[in-house]
This record gives sequence, C-alpha cells and structure tokens, in this order.
Amino acid sequence: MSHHYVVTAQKPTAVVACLTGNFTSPTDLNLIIARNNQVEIDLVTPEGLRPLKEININGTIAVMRHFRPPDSNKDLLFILTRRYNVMILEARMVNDVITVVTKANGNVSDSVGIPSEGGVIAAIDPKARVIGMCLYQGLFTIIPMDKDASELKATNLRMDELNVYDVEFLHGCLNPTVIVIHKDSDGRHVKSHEINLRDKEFMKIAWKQDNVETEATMLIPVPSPIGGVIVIGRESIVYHDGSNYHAVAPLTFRQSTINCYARVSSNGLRYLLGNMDGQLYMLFLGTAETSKGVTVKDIKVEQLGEISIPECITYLDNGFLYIGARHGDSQLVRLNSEAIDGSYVVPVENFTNLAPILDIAVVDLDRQGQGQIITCSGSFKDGSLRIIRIGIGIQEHACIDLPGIKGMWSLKVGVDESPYENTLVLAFVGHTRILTLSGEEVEETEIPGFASDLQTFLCSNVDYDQLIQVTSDSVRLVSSATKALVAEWRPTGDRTIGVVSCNTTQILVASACDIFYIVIEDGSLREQSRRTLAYEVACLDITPLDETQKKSDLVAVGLWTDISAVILSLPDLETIYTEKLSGEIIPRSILMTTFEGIHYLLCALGDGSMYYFIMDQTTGQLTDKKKVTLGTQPTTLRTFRSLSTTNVFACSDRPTVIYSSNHKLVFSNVNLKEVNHMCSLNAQAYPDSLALANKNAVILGTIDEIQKLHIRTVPLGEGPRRIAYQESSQTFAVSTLRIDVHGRGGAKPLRNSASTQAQNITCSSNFLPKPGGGNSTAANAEVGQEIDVHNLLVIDQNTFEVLHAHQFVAPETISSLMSAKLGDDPNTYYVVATSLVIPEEPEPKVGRIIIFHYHENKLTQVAETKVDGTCYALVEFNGKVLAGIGSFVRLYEWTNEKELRMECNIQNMIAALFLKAKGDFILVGDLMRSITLLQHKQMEGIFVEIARDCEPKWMRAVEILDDDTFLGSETNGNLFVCQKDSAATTDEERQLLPELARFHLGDTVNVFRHGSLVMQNVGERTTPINGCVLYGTCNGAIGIVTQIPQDFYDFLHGLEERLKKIIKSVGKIEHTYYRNFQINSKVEPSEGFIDGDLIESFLDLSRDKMRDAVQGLELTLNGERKSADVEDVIKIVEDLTRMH
Amino acid sequence: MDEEENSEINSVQARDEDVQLEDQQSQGLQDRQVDVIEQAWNNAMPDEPSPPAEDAFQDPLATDGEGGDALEAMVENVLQDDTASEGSHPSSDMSLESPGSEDDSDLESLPHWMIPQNRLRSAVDMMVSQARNRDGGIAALLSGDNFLQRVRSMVFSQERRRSRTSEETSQEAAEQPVDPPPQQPPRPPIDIGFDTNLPAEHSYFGNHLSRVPGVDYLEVGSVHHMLIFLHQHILFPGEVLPFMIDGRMFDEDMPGLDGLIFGVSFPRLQPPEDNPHKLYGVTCQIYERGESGRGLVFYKSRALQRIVINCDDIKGSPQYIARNPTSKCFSKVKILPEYFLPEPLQTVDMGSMARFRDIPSMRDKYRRFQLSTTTWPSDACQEYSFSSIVERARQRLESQKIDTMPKCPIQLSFWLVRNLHLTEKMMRLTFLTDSVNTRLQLIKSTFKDETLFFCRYCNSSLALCSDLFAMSKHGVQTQYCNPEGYIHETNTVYRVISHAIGYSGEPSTKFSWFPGYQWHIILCKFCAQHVGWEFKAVHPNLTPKVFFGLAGSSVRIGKASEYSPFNGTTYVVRNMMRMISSDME
Repeated sequence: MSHHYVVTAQKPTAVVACLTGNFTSPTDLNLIIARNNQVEIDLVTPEGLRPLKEININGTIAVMRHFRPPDSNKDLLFILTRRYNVMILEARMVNDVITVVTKANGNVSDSVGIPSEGGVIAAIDPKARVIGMCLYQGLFTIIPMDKDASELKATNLRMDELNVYDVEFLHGCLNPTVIVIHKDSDGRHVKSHEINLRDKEFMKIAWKQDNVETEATMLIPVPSPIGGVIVIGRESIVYHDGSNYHAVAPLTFRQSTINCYARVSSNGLRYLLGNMDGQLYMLFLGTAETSKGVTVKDIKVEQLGEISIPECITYLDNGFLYIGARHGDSQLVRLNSEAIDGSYVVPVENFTNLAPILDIAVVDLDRQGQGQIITCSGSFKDGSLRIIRIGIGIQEHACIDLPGIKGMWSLKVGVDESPYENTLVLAFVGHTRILTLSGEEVEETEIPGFASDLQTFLCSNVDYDQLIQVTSDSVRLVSSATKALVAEWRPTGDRTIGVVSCNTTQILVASACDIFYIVIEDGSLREQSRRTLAYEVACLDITPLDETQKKSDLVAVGLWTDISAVILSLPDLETIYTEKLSGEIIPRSILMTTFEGIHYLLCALGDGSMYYFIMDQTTGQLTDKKKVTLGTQPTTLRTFRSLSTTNVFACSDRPTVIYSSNHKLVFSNVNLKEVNHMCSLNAQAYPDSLALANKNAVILGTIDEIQKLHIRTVPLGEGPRRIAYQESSQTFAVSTLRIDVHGRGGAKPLRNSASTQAQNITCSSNFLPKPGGGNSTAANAEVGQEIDVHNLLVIDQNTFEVLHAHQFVAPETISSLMSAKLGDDPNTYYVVATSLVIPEEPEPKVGRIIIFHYHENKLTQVAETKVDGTCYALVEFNGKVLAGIGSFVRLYEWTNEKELRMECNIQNMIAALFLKAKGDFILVGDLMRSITLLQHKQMEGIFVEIARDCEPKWMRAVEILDDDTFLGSETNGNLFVCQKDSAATTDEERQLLPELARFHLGDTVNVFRHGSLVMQNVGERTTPINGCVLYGTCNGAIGIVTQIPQDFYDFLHGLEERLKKIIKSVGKIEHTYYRNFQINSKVEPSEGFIDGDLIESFLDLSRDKMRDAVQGLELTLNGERKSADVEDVIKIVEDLTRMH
Repeated sequence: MDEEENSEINSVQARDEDVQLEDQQSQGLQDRQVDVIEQAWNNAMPDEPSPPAEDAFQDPLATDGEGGDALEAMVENVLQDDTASEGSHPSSDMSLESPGSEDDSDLESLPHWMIPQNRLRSAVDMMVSQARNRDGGIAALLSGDNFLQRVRSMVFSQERRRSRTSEETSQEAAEQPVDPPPQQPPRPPIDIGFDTNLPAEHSYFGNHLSRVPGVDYLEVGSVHHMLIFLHQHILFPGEVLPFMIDGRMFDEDMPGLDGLIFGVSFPRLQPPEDNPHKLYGVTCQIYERGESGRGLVFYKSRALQRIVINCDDIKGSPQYIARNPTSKCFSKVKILPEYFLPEPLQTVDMGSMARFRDIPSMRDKYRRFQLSTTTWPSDACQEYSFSSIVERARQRLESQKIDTMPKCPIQLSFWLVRNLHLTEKMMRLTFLTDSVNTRLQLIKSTFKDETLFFCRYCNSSLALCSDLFAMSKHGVQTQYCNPEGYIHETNTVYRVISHAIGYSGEPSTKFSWFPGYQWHIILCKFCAQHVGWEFKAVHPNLTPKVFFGLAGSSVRIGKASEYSPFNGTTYVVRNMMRMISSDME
C-alpha cells in the first residue's frame, strides 16, 4: 500500500466570482470573493477592505450569486459547485463573531443529463422566487425557493434551446421570467420564458428576438422600472424589452470581448464592462419618460482604462470597484472623475494571485537549506514570476560598515520620557563604541561613565533612569541624565566576569563557577547573594517570565562540562531543577521566554542546534524536551518584540526567528545570510526596527510582519510558461509567450514587456522552410491578427533583471526548457526545445533542440539538432539529454564535438508530455495514457518498458515519489499514485502500475517538483514523513505531498474520520463526497491520501471538541500503543503544520 | 501523374503510421515470422471461411492451361536458385529492397497478383519438398536472409516468366510501380427506394419471432461464466448477429445474467504479440427468437461488450456459431473496459470566458486562453481532439447515405469501424484498444486512404469502398444468416469494378436478405471463387435496381495504393511463407 499526506501551503488565489451586498448586517457593506473552494467575506470600510471571515466549501465553486429574500434586509449567498451541490448561506453575528450558516442545501445533478457545453450558468429571480440553472443540454433546472425548506430540490424543465450562452431573470415580471441567449443553425437568438412555479413548467414565451448579432454572448438584465435586457455582442450592444429596441455599435468597441460586467447604480443606468484584454468600459443607458413609463432612448459606451484581465467585477461604493482576476492580480481600483493620461482608473491595491501556475523552480539561492519557489504565474499582460519563500523578511533601511562587532545594544540615553531609543552601543574586542542616532544620521559619541577601553558584555537601560554596562572587570551603573558613573560592582579577588544577564532590576553575573546576584537600586548595586556551582557557567538568563513583572524569580544557567541546564531560584540561588542536555556540545545561549502564555526555556548549543522545553514558572521544571537545528555555528538567542508579541531571534549563520503560532513554536528563516548579533531598535528614524550585525556591518531595518509565505512579484508583461535554474551562471531561463499584433509593417508587440526591454535582445533565424513552401502563415497574416511570439529570457537570480531575451520567429514556439551539464563538458547549458506550430496543420511536425550557453553576459548557441516532432519534455539524464518527442522518448548523448547524437529511442506513447528520471528509471507522463515507467539499460543502450498504468487519463503532471511509487495529476483535479508491484507473480501483473491511492484535490496540479519550503532537518520530528513534493495549480495554490508510514497513516485516518463528523462543513457537503476521485462518470472513494487541510483544522477546534475528536483514538508513541490524548494529537498536528 | 505521386506519399505516410502504431520492437525477422505464422494460422483455421451453401457448384481447384507451365517454372527457379548467388537479380522487385522494410504493414499493402491460389500452392509445395530433401530441411529454408533472397529470386524469375505471357512486360511493370486505381465513372447519386429497416430486421427468418427480454450490461472488469462460440467475422459492440442453431444450445438459464447472454470470440483477432492464451470477443444478448423446424431456432442477438477469454478457462471445445455447433462450451469471460475521455481542452475550466467558446473569429484567442492555464502544448491538444474526426467521418459517410451515427462516443467509435471499412489490421487494433479516444485516433489515421475490396483468394480488386452504401439501417456492413445457418458478413456496394466478377447459378428470391430483391451468386472473375451476390429488384418500385453484396469472408479491404496489376512479388512471398510455415506446424 501507499500512504500519503497532502496539504495546502498557499491557498488558491484565482478569483472565480465576486459580489457586493449586505451580508454580515443590514448596514455592513460586504465584498464576497469566491476562490476555488473558498469564500472570503470582507467588510468595505473607508480605509479599505477588511477581511472578516474565510470559509471553506467542500467543493469547487462554479457559480456564486446573491439575492435578498422579499422580507429581509440582508442578502443571502447562493453557491453552486462543479459537482452540482447547491447551498444558500447566511452570515450571522453571534456574540460579535461572524458565523456562516447553511440555510438550505442539496444536490441538483441528473444522472442521465449531458453536461452543457461551456460550463454551468445560474441566475436568481430578482424577487427571489426561484433559482434557474443551465446544467445539462436541453434542460433548464429550477429550484423554487421555499423560505423554510432546508433542502434545495431541483426540477428539470425541458428547454428547446440546446446551446445556451447566458441566462438571466428579467426584472419587473409578474411570473419569474428567464431570458436566454442561444444558438441554432440559423444564428443566435434571445428568448424569454415565463415559469409557472406551481406546475413547475414553462408557460409561454413572453417575447423573443431572433437573429441578434451572431457573436452576442452576454445578457445584462436592467432593473425596474426600466426592465428589459442589454445584449452584449462583439460589435454591438442592444437594449431590448420586448417592444422597445435600441442598438449601438460603439467605435471603441470593435471586436470587443466583454466577459464580465458590474452594475454601478441600483437604478440600472450605468454598468461597468470588462474584457479579455483587461480593458474597462462604462455603459450608460439614456432614458426618457414616456406614457409607458421610463424607457431607454440611447446607449453610450466609454472606455475607462486598463485593469487586470478580469474574471468578474463588482462595484463597491464611492467609485471603488473590485476586479477579480484569474490570470493576474486581483485589484481594488478607484474611478476618477477626470482622466489622467487618458485613464479614469486609479489602482488602489493589488491582491496577489499566483494563478495559473504553469511551472515552478525550487531553488536554495542563499544556500540556507531552505527552498524558495519561483513560479511562472499569470498570463499575457499579467504574466509574472513570483518568488515565494517561507520566512521573515528584513527591509534594510541603513547599513553601517563596521567590522568585528562582538555585541550590540540599544539604549535610551538622557531621553527617558521618550519612547524612542537614541543610542547604539557596539562592543569590539578590547573596546566599546557608542553611536548616537539623530534623525537618520548616526554619529559616534561617548558616555563618560562607560568604560570604552574594554569590551562590553552587556548594556541596558535599568530602573531609576540608569544605565548598566558590564565589562570583564566590573558592572557599571551610570546615570542616564548625567552619563556619569554612579556605582560599580567588581567581583572579589582577581576574578573576571565571564557571562552576565540582567533585567531592569536584577543582574546576574558569573565568573567561572561562581555566580553573583546583584539588585539594582537607585544609585547603587547591591550584591544580594552568591553561590558556587559544580561546573563553570557557560550562559545564563534572568529575563522575567511574566512580562508584567520587572523582576524574575528564576534564573536559567547553562553549564560547561556537565552540559546541563540548571534552574536556580532567586534570591537564594538554590538549584531547583537540573536538566542534562545530551551530547558533548556546550550550551552557548540560554533564554527564558513566554509565547502565547506558555513558558519556554530555550538553550542554544555551540553547533547551531537548540533544545527547547516547556518550563514551569514556579517549580522551574522542564518538560517536553525538543531539539531543532537552526544553523551550523554557535547560536545566540535574543528576544525582541514585534507587533506586540514576543519573538526570539537566533543569531547564527542561518538567522532564525522563533515565535509561536497556535501554541507551537515556529522557526522562521530570515532572509539574511548571516547575523552574529542583534538588538531591537526603536529609534525615531527607525521605529520598530532591528539592528543586525554580521562580520562586516550593522544593518538597521524593519522585520516583516511575521507571515508564512512571502511572495515577491517580478512583473513580466507577458506570459511565462517554463522556468529553469542554472547555478553556474546564477540565472534563470524563462520561456514566455508574447502576443504581437500584425500591422502594415509586420508584427509588432502590443506593449512593452520583459522581452522587449531586456538588456540584450537577439532573434533566432528562421530555421526551417515552411511546410508547403512559400510564405509562412505569419508573414501572410492580416493586419490586426495576433501572433504568438515565444521568447527565451535569461534572468539574474538576485536582481531578477532580464539580462537577455532571445526571440523565436513565429510559428516557432518553445515547448520545453532545462539547464543541464552534459557529458564531460565543464559548461552548464540551457537546453531549449522548439517546434513549429501551424494551426490546423498538425503534420508533419518539426522542431529542434538547441543548446545555449550563457556566459559573461552573452547567450551563444552551441549546437542544435532537428527533431521530427514536438519535443514536449526535457530532462537531464546521467549527463545526457532525455527528451519526450511526440510519441517517442529519446536519449541524446553530448559528443566531444559538441553535438547531440541520438543514443536510443522508444515509442509507445501517444504524446510524451512529462518526463522525470531517477537513476536508470524514467517516468513518462503521456497526454492521455497515464504514466509509464521505463528503464534505460545502459549496457544494451536501449529503453525497456517496465510497467504502465492502463487507465487513460488526461495527464497534467507526474512525479517520482520513490523507486516504486509514482504520483500523477489529471485534468479533473484528481491526484493518484501508482505503485510498481515487484512481487507480482505473473509478468502481466508486473507490467501494470496499479493505482493504489487516489484523491480529489479540487484543483488541477500543473507541476510537481521535489523540494521543501521549510528548513530541512529542523529538529526531531514526531511525524515520520518521507520526501516532499511541492505542487502548483491552475488556481494558484501551492501544496505539499509527502509519504507517511502505514501506522501513522492509520492514526491520521482515524483522526480524519472523527474530524469529518465533528467539523460541520459550510454547505453541508460531505467531506468523503468532496474527496472522491471522479473522472467523468467513474467515481471511486479517496484512499491512500490524508487530507492535511482537514487534519490541520483540528488546531482550530475548541478544547472540548478536540477531546471529542481524539476520543478512542489510538496512537503509537515510542513504540508503545496507547490511547491518544489531546496534547499528543496537538503536538503531532502542529508538527505536521511545520511542513509549510 | 500527380495522383500517382500522391498515392505513393500516402502509402508511405500510412506505413509510417502503422509502424508507429505497432510495437516498434517487433521489427526483427523473428517477429515477422511469428506474425506470418499467426497469419497462416488464421488462414489455415479448420473453419476457414468456407463457401456458403450456394457454392456447391464451384470448383475450388479451377485450373487453366498455365498451371503446368508454372510448375515447371517453379522447379526451374528453385534449381536456379541453388546455383545463383545472392542478390543476382536487379531492380525489378522493389518492395523487398531490404528485409527490414518488410514489416507487418506490408501485409496491408499487398499488391494483388493474378495467379490462382491453387497454382501458387503447388509451386510452394514444390519448393518445400525440395527443401526437405536438402540439409537442414525447412528450418534451413526459413533461416534468415538467405531464404528471403531465394524466395526473391524465385519470385523474380517467376514474375518474368509470367509477364511473357501477359500483355505487358515486366519491365514496364517495374517502371510503373503503381498504377492509378481503376477509374470508375462518377457515381450517380444513390436513391434508396427501399425500407432499410427490413434487412435490419432479418425478416427472411420469417415473422414468427418472439422477443427475448433483458439487456444486461455487465460491470467492467467483472468475470462471468457463459456459453461461448467462435465466429469468423469480427463483431463490434452494437452490431446485430443473426444465427440459426440447435435450440437445445440455449435451453439452460444463464445463471446470474439478465436474459440470454453468450460470448462470441474471434480467433482472427488474436494479436500476434499478445499472449496466445487469450481470445477476444464480445458478449451477445439475444433479443428475438423463432422456431424454424428441424430442431433449429433462429436467434437475433446484438453484440454488447468486448470480452477477453483466457484459453485455459475454456471448458469443452469451442465451435463456430455458424457451423451448427453440437456441443456447449463454457468459459469464464472478463468484460473489457471502454475508456472515454472528453476533449482535452474541454476539461479546462474557462469561467466567464466559456461564453466565447464557439465564436469563429475568436477561435485563436479562445484557444490561447485555454492553453494559458495548462502546460499542454497546443499541437498535442489539437491532435487529440476527436470532434474533427467525427466531423470528417460524418462527411465521408454522408455520401454513402449513412445517417444513423450514434451520439454516444463509445458506440460511435464501434459504429465508425464498421462503416468506414478499415483494413483487417486496423480492425484488430481498434477492437483491441480499451480507449475510445485511441480507437478514434486509429480511425482518423485511415481517412486519407482510399480503400478497395480485394478478392481474398487472388487479390483482384473487386469494388471501391467509396461505392458502399447502407441498404440496412445498421450501415453498410451487416451480418446475415443463410438457410444453412452460415453467417455472412455482407458489404453492400452500389457497383463493382467492371469485368471483375462473373456469375454462377441461377438467381433466386428464396430467403432473400433484402425483401423484394433476388440474389445471384457472383464469383471473382479471375479465380472463380465466390465473393458475394448480386441483388436485383424484383419489385419494380424498389431502388436501387441492382446492387451487390460482398461476402466478408471472401473479400479483403486494402488500400487503393496497393492496386498495381503486375507487381505481385510481395504477395507471393507472403503466401509462400505462410504456406511453408503452416506446413511446419
């Protein structure tokens, strides 16, 4: 069997639908955004959008609409999923908490219906009497609305119109009346049907208009009192209400492709229209009062400006609108009354959207043991690269070159009333320097009471407006106002101070085995107690555990020789608890801290690892010992506060921020290469900042809001399709698709984009004669025709500047890309596969594989070989080029003459789109024939087919999990795992790759890559996971698939089953139903996969529910089987969440 | 001349495709021999499509004056061959330039050759007996290039000898490798003034048939125990099989099945590369039955699902359903799946842009948006779109008055195979694939071929496949049963190639499959084998007045590019190898 855990790291970002209404209260204006399986409820405030609530639906949202029941002052939400589940949701405020309740739900699928072409459409009667849907060909599905019914029951009405493009309900009709736009052999027609709700049938055709524009696709119902409908075509806009008919063909509107609209005013006179190119229009209806009431007398359309390629638009208020996008960032924009540079659109805020993710590269640029993901995101003008990493970002504001810093502290000197610090004390070997921060300037200064000829061990503001400086000789108390020495404490004899720790009232000093407790008083230092420990003190800490307290009752000490952490009580310095740290590495830094009300003791060792314990505040007892590896060098721990929470900064070669989330410690990488010392700094010019010192300099900067994924956008202005990373040249290669438009002088780019603005631009020569001879299709193109132009971009790994753009001449397209080191050749090359794609002329196909070398800012073509088909996939295979070309898999050898020579060849695919290799084994993902495992027999120089999955599927991505286990993604949003059965008894069975695990992800995976988002080997995991595969989806989600052992799977499966019962999903779609593996009519239960998203929701449960959930659950801990308690499960689940 | 070139290109392309479809590794000589043996096995089946009842008066060993000459020639050739070294013959035999080129696809491109089969057989017999007398025996005869060389040289001289007696010289034949297919005058529009439901009802069984209830689609992958028979024609699901059988065969209830279901399997389908212990077939559901007296019962059944039988599971000896089987034979059968995937790009969710799905002027833009959310390359998606295949098939069949195209893609794929007249190898491939998309893809690959009916015995061309038309609502090809219980797969064509056929016996209206038409046996003019029937309207208001039914067991479908009157070398080699190998068994 095969067991896997799948979890989302980045939720889907593509917006399916958005709308504005009053949901959370009659007075709240809410923006509702639907993304794949999620609904986000925001509040529209004068300051912007405020997220209120996010809910998960166990289904992929196909349609989301809202309506207001006649007797209500709030709106309700109607959602239809891809698997025909329907639900009506209401947002309620219960004790200031917004809860979303399912008012009614049901399933409207029909087992014999033929799904309608082009997806489902749903509309709601303006008086909320009925919901109408086009789900199946020749059927119109209605759900009559019954206020009290909790089940939504559908009735199918036979409809003559088979090919329907849009359906809406007309306003101001006695009976609910739908209007459809449909096509038959004569053309496109608009037709209205009145529905008799009692008999559930169509009554009559109220009116119709045959032969509207042949390319009309969209209906906009106009509210009462005007009524009627606007029909949007490609060249014209028509208003019709059965008697009155108006048509315009605006000039700005030629060849328009309006795909979404939003109504601006409730009177229905103004509409916003968005098109596929990302242009925004306003449509005005001019009306006149006549004897029949208000009628439309003219239509005007005006272009407003540019937006992201919209999927949906909704008008919020006061000229603000929200653009939901699938191909680029969603936007909040404002409409100006005056045009600025010809545009009325002012972007206010962008909401990151990674969709569609076509390719990802997982790289560890900083060599920090943590991967970053670079995605090919977005399409066309909204195309971009996104750099995604988990961790904490430092925004650098200033940098001071100062090598050799040994310690660093920030102080308030002479400005005790001010909230800001103004002084930075820097310790060096043998001396101390003091910097004053005045504004953004930094000056060196002196504090007379400080000993500047010695290395400072510690500096701090303490009570009574005093400062403390500790050197190897003494503890100096200095008045903040006069900067003069007030008191000094020296250890007796010729002892020197080794380590020290203080808070605002207490100082603890250690000298070898001796430890001194000093109390800070106004103008004096009083030694209260002393003690000699058995071993030398390596580090100590006296930070108060309770933040409200100024003094601590406990002291933590790390000891040499014994390698132990000791807790002493104050003031008598009695040992109350000793914890032996295993190993021989001495503790270097010890710290008591409190995260989310839980007290911890952290103890960092000299090898970069760290133990942490939960600490009892009174007894000093340490429990729950855990170990993590933070770096490879001695680590220093410092606390700092950010956003009013405590954080710990671990200074090392891999700086890490430690904080707590969901009552678990999170170790977040900081995007700096090395930090030796740090202190928090809250200066006037640098508020809420950190000072970070490395070998050469001090950096003043702010730390990012603590967040999981950091996404940086590199806009390209054209659609990226493939990415490859090359370490030797420190570059990425990205293949992009740019759309050029044919003018009189040939094809020209529509706009500036990455490939037109690169530092160097080259163009490939047109390499092959066109099939059929004569001119290419591109050269013959009509004016205005759009042409795909493929570019190879070389991008700097640090700056993400486009260093080089290599353009291919249409119709040559880039089909695949990789970076590889070939044969004995010392160079690393970019290998690019291209093909000639001539629409409607599928054969014969020709293409080439080109070897490029990027060196010293030059891209040189080293070799090329022609291939008789499209090369869909390239993989480096033991120093050779493995290529999937049409139905073949071929291996090319790199000869000493720098040529590609075909070594072997196998054909039993339909189209070998995806290749992955491991050792001698090759996994082939076919367009249709699922996955095949090949082996390369090096001795014979042949490929041998080992096994294949025989069930055809449209494949989207494949990956090798281990030698026998293979992961695949197919186009309906399912994941499956096939496993080689080496123990099979017959040859026939051995040649099969049976599907052993299945899962409906609800989103289509486009790419799998091995790699991890978090630091590898951090600590001892309680969860045994094996390998980590990242995926990127169509809807912009990023997730993780990993293998888990059987017993752990069984445990999680048990928990999953319990959670399914305990967590009531919004919309009441069963989790089991949601995760069913479904391809066309074939439905199979999910198995072999644990839904990590469901498991992680355990942490959001109340304690009581957690207890219910673990009731009767058994788990194996340390080889012992026992019934699980809540704490165990929390720990396990927390550990799982640490994967992302 | 242009046309000639085209057809050549076609054949080359077609061959390439065949190669693609075949497992490329089966190109070695060994595999070829296996293939040949398999072919031979098919041909040498004990129940090799024997002449229908009407054939009684046909002399299977019709000889003519040249018989003896050929024999002499053969001996002469063989003797020559002993002394002649390899490669002593020049360019004339072009299709065998290298042994490697002779893959399975050659079988499909067999040019016909006008030596009656009996003559060929005796010639080969001679060669075999000669081989027996030499060292190494037949094995040596068959070993490697040497054998091929010898066959080649023999064929070459035989060819030359033959050509002396024919009107044209072999030299000319060599220079004109491919003659254009016979040019028939353009076909007048077919007007069918006939109720095409009648043949489909098989009313010649009489009107006293009663319905048998039940339709049972069995679960894919499930294994059932059922009665099985063999059949000489390949039936595809959806096809109707009428037959006459001893009524006792179906006395028993079929346990666990709804209605009367039995399995029919096709020895001809046995794929060469596959496990020889497997037999493929279909389940058939009986839907009507009627007594005919003499203890025989008429049944009408419909093929439903494809099955596979492991030969080890067969209990009893399977018998041909058309040969009055006397004993029951049961076996476990496994239902094969039919995988169908909708168009690749249809699975891409287009959201608000779905409304632009069929605007012609936006096609490129729409496709670009579709592809922008997937890594699929556009050319791959385009190629695996099947709507264009269906549309092309529809256009092709429209001219043949076939308009009963099913909507369900699975049924459609089978229906197209039956109606588009694929070559036997294609039929086999389309039957054996579980994927409907692949099946449609295979069908697409045949579109560019113009096909002809060839006499299975002597390879003379008989009729153009484009002259097929549907006399039955089931399409151009239907299984009919004759009074003796033989089942004929009958292809209805509007006309045959002029001078290709002769007549035999007297016309009759008895038991006519097409009520209102009399039948008259037709023979291949060259080899005088029975190839079908001519149907003539006896009722004056029936149209067409005349048409022909070609018996599937006597004709073979081949590509028009094979049509070359005098280049028959490959065929000879094939036949020889076939006979030799069957001799070895």
